[in-house]
Amino acid sequence: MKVLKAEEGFTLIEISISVAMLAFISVVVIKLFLAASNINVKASEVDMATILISNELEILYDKTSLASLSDEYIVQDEEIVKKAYFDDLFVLSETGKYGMTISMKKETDALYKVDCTFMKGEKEIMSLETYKHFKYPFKKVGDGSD
Amino acid sequence: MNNKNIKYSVETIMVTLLLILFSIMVSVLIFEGSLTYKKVLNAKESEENTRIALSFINMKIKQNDLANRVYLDSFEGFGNAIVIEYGDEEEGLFSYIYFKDGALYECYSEGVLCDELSTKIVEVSGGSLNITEDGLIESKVSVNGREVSRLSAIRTNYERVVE
Repeated sequence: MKVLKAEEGFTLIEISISVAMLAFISVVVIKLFLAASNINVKASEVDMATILISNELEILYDKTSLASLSDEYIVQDEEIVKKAYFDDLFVLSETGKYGMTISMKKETDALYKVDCTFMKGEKEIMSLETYKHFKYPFKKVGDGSD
Repeated sequence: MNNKNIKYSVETIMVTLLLILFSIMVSVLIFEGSLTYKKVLNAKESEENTRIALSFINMKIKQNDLANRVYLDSFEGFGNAIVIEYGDEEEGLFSYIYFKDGALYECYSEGVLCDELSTKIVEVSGGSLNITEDGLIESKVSVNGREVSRLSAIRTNYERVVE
């Protein structure tokens, strides 16, 4: 082990090995930071999905009749569906990488099952289902019309 | 190479250069690592604080949501604040929830809104409270370069729609 017994200090081989080790450690550390950053991004997406879905449910909660739903809800195969898209900053846009679908299916006359899904492209970020009771399912509040 | 006499050779210069490179790389790695770590932590903290602020507001509204007991009002020096009127054993007491100086505050008092009686709930980079066209309370908080808004339906509005 002539190299290790040398007294001149570090040899080229020793330094090369050190640099290689440093490079390896750097890659591991950078990967850890990237993983942490990705986890933050995913957590942020789930947060935003939760907030955007609960916002939509709050708006729904406030509606007492089907007639008072906004025009964004359309009837599609016995379901009432709303689709919305959001850009990278989760701002409402016509097209975007995030998509939210709210669909309501009739259970009884006034009770609807609500399915909410939030997608990133083809990948589902979160989904939940709940029920919405319409006090006046077929009437517009106040005017008495059908 | 003689051990007693120091001679500069190509190998020595290369070794010295590599050593310097090694030191610089270690320093840069530590510096950049620490910056990235702080950035990741700050982003995480901002997201957490935003979640806490919006959940706090929503929880307070839902806990006390009786007709005409929860509403939004404007106060000089404070801007818009959510006002919660308590009943029963807490009759005459109010809670004011508002954003001021980069934080969310709650003031629990006998109808007076002031800084001295206010408690800081959580620090957020900026927030505002408004009423939407549909009559829902909208809490907006800025976080990591974007604005997060959460809507809360209130019974007062619900009653108004039914009537």
